[in-house]
Amino acid sequence: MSKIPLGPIELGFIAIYLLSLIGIGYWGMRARTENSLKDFYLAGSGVGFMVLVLTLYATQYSGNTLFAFTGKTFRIGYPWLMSVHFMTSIIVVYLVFAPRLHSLAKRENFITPADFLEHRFAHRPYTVLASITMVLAIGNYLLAQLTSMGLLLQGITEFDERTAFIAGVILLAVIMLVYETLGGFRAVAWTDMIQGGILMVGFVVLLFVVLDHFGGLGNSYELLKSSKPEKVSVPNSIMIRQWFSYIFVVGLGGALYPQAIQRIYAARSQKVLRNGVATMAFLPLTASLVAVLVGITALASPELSGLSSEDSDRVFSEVCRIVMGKSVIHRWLVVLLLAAVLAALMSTADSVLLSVSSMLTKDIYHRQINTKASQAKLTLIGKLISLVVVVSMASVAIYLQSLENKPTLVKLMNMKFDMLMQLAPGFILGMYWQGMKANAPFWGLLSGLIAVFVLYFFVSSNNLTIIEEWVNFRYGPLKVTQGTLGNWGVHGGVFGLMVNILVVVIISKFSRGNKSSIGL
Amino acid sequence: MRDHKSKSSRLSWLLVFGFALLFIFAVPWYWGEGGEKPLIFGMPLWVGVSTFISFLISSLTAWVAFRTWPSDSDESEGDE
Repeated sequence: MSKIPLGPIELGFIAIYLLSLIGIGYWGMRARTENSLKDFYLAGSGVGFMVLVLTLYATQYSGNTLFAFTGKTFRIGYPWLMSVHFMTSIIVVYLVFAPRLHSLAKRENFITPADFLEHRFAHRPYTVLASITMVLAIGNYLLAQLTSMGLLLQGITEFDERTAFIAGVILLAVIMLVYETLGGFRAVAWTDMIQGGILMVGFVVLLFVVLDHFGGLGNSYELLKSSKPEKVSVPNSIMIRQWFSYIFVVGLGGALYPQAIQRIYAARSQKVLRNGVATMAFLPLTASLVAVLVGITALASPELSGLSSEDSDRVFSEVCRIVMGKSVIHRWLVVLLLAAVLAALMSTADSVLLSVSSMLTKDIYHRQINTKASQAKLTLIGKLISLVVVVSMASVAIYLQSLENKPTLVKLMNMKFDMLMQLAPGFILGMYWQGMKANAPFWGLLSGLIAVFVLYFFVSSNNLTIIEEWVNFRYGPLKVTQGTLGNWGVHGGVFGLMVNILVVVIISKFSRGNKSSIGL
Repeated sequence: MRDHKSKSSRLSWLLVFGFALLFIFAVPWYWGEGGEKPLIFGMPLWVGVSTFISFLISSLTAWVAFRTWPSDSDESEGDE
């Protein structure tokens, strides 16, 4: 991130905003109706329309949307418009399974996503493997958000870089942990409401500021047409395949985010959920599309011509740095934008943390270790697990930052969707196909994950054989981390899901296992 | 009853087909040379068309949600 040092008054404004989050956590604690997992992780009887939309929005659009989406557009140009489509496809997938999942969750008191799988298949190895898959996939995501928090503080203060990074990670992680421990899901959803509101305003401000300073889109097009025509041209065939692949992978993987599934559970009623989903369908046009237009404008700007593709994650902060010098009003608009970034990072991180904590508490501790624990004890264990997760993730973020070869945001999250989409047979097919055998999704998930890992580590864009790749992976620089089969433009998760579904169908059709379709 | 079921099943398949068609044409695979002019709001033509189709997908999603989502009273009747 580029240096955008803020003055004491501006930092004071951000400090007041952060302290208000702790106040909301306390308010959430006062609103508690009972000391139970359901109250702590799902706000008891659930949340209303406004809170649901803003918490879904704030959770789904993370720091990644602002940093990585503008950066990716800076690298590849208009074809990153695919981000608008893949974010919309998540909502389309909700149409398929959210109504039925919500009514089951209300009837059976589900708390974690794996509760549905346990109810549907009653196959303990599958429940545990699915839960571990989700924890690993989104644990990585939490790490990325914590890293970005450190980088943000590094950018807005004058401290020594290493000190600022460590202070940023620790300070923001502690604030998040305090309000979450105080108020649970209620605090997270209410702070999401403020953070989602700031983020929405932030996107509007961002578009206004960028178009005002750098000139309109027509101007950008003419500049790019002569200097970098491939960035505005119709994408080539590999990019087209990648576009289809992204719609499929993110549509399924994003809809199966555990923190999103828990928001389906937490909607107060079907009407609230329906209105929330219908509203969410339009929000990619206000978030992803803005990030693409900002990236294109920055790409065309002579002021940013010094930025290389490797530096593309700095596009957003460079835009802020350039704009804030124009006037006092512009400076405060940038402060508002930085608050929006902070909101995006924290709202995603707190939701992920709560989700990871609920899965480790309910799916692993309660189901496997201590089945007789009381609700009060489980809630306490959940809070302790949150503490352990935050301390370990913050330590990993600080350690990784000290390495020479730093992992970038996108690298950290490459496999997240490929892994999560392997849960689709259990959640979506299992919801409708009564003949699906209880052990089928377990073997399907295992095969799908193995296929994804093999493809991820052994097939890449540099035309090496598997053996050469392996030697390179073991002894050479780690260049093999490609989430996409670069030669063909299709994510490994797509092939993993094909294997996964094939295994599920074969076992369900030809084995004599138990169907176990309770209560569907 | 059977009539209602087959009607709803037909609607489901129609919607699957509709969404698939919209997503397929949202991806600009069918533009040859010259997919860039005229500019729409300063964006190349293929970007404008793709964005408009995205808006259509969002609208269809919202319409389907309002048209097919079960109400809370449907559920309590089903439970009884």
